[in-house]
Amino acid sequence: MMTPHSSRTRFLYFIFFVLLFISAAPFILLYSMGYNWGKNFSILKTGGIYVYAPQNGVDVYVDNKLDNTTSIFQHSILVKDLRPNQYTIRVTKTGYLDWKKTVPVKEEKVAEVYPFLIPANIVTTNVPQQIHSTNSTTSALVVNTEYKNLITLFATSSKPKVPTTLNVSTSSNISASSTLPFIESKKVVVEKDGNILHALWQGGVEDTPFYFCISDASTCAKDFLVYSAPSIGTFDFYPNRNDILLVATGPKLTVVELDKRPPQNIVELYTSSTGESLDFRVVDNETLVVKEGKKLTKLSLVYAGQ
Amino acid sequence: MSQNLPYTQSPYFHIGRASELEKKSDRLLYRFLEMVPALLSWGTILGSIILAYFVPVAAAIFIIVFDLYWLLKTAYLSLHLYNNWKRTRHNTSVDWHVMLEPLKYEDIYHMVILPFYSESYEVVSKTIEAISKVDYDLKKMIVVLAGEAKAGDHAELVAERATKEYGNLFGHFFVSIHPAGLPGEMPGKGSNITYAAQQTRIHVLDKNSIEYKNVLVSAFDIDTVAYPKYFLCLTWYFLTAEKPYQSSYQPIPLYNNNLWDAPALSRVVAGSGTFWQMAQQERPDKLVTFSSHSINFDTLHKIGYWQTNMVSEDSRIFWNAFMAYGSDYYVVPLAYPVSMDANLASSFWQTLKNIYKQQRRWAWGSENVPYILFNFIKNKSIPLNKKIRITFVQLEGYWSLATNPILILLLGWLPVIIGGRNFNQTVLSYNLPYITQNLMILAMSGLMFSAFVFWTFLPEMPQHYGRGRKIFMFFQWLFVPVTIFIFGAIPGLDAQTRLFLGKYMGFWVTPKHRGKATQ
Repeated sequence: MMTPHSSRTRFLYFIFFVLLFISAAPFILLYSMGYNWGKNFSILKTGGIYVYAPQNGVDVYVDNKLDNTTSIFQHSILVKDLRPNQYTIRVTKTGYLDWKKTVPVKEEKVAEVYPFLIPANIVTTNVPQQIHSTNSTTSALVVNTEYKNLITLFATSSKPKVPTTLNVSTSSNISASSTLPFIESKKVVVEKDGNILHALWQGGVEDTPFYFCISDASTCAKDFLVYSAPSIGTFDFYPNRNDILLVATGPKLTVVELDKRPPQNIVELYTSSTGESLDFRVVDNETLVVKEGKKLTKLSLVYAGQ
Repeated sequence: MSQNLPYTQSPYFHIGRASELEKKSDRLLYRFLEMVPALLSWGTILGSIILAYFVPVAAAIFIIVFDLYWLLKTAYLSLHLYNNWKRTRHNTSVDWHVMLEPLKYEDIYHMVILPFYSESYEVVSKTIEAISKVDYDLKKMIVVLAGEAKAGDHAELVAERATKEYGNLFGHFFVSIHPAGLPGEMPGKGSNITYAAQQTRIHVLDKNSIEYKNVLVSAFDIDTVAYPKYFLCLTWYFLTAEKPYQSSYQPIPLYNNNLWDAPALSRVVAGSGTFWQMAQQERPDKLVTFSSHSINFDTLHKIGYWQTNMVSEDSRIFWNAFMAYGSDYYVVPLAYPVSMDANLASSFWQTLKNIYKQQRRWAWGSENVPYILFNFIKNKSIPLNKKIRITFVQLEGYWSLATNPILILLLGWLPVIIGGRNFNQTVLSYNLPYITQNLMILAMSGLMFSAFVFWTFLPEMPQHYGRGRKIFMFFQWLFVPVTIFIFGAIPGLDAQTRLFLGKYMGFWVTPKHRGKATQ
């Protein structure tokens, strides 16, 4: 007759599982905390780098060695088991400019990087003021509705895309010099003081974005200098990002990241063919419109393929 | 109650709740012990949240260690489940007549108590019909139909019809109608079957000079369908038990009566209950009577029958006997099934509500915790090491039910969410979700085995169901993370919180509803 296992056998089962628990728990815990095996079974303390690439099919290199590629299901990659040191992360995708950043890795800590990918060849489309309207018998120049709609974005009253002058009485906590033009996204404020752009954090200390804490993670700065250039004009956040700026400087439209760890990636997106100062507006998540005098040009931020 | 078992005379022996105690110090102590399960469960949940906020590293370490504990516990229980599955397969195929041949069992009577309230005649009839077809001398069967006066004419009409149809098939067919509102009683199964057993003693056993020691009482639910060899198997285990009169006998509850008609969530909850009981069957030192169970009548008489002042009479009868015999009392696992109804109501939503209420009633078994701990303090005849071991097993059981799914499914992510900036920059913070996820995937892979075991116990599929339903019987186990949370942890916490607050639950009768296929 079959009977339940004897109490001795059950006790042995129990002891086996207890021993398994006791022996596995320290290894799993140490591994979770960033410890790893070194040569001669020595235990090493490691750190990591968290890379969030906003697209799939992005290759992530660590010191020029391919570590991983993002997929539809996973846009983030955690590079693990890195000994404390400086590492250069390079992010590439066909049709886009490479993005690079050198970050220090500390024991048991994870450094964050948020690459941005700009198409290597920006597709530009001229938006004429007038277009030909053709019917069966005649052809005539008429006002281009698209031009009419886009030009209204540049009217000073168009909010919130246009930097405005801050009303001291309503937002006195922004900064001491709160009459300066500013933009704000998710409590990150960027204000222009002459030829300088400053970033300020308006949220709680615990939520401070990493790029305010570059010099010392435990004591993050409330504000820092992002960018300086002569004749800074319009500036705005890059679509869907509050760590990247679009800045018009004279005849150039430049992408500037707030993360100042070297190199601070600054990419010229567009240069006026006439050499005159340009203005711009963000139309949607994938499109900008640049104004040079009366000329309007649309820029696509999406890779258009071969 | 017996003079030979002195503890049965103790004022604490049949205590139902704190307010029934005379001495204030006893009342306070018992009241505190009623709070213990909720204190442990809520303490763990709130403690984890506080820890995740103030010391997220410690919380993350706790969660990873806990996940590992849960994985190994799942593997450990699966091992027992496998052993019991093998034993059950063996016991359902063995020739019990051959097994019983060398034993003298002709004098053994089986008293089967079938309590009912408002269930339809069809439900009652199916259960009696199954007993009429068992492979045992029907002359030795005492079928007791136990109705409730509170149900009005319904009880008498059902009893009358059943007596007409089945009265002559058995050695004895006895009907008892439990009067409403007897002093000191709570309406429910306990008071009904106790009344029925006492009445049967007077009107059947004593009248026919049937020796109490020769009678095995099976306290069934009205939907408990006995398989043909069940009473042969029970008899064999009784006659071969080391201490037959100091043992209860526990079958495996399957929920096959209406399984094909019940929705997937109901099947998974029912199946999970079966697996838990199967794993417990392989650990007789931890096994406690549950739902349908059997006990010798002499023992039952000596310990004063089932308690009539509380809800969980099925498990309490074991603890009563355990206290009465100074811990020298056991549960013999039969590794043989009986079949009951899975939850099924007229609508899906009502079925879910019924599942929740049934699970909460079962989780209300935590009312045994104050009883056990209080009587451990008062009963000096129980060895200290047993008291410590049982206290741990019982507390861990109710704590696990109410907290483990919450710790695994919700709190595993909490340090990452509320742990703050410094914690979120650590390797531990980034690894916590990965490690938790991987350990849980490993644990869930054990579900494949559960699905297989469940499959082997499936009754024949009614013809009007397609093959898709059969295949879904396998994949339904993906609902387990949902069911252990909604129909495990939440009703567990609900019941413990009510006990903590002194909002005592009454007996909720699970409505019996069957689809066309199983009526």
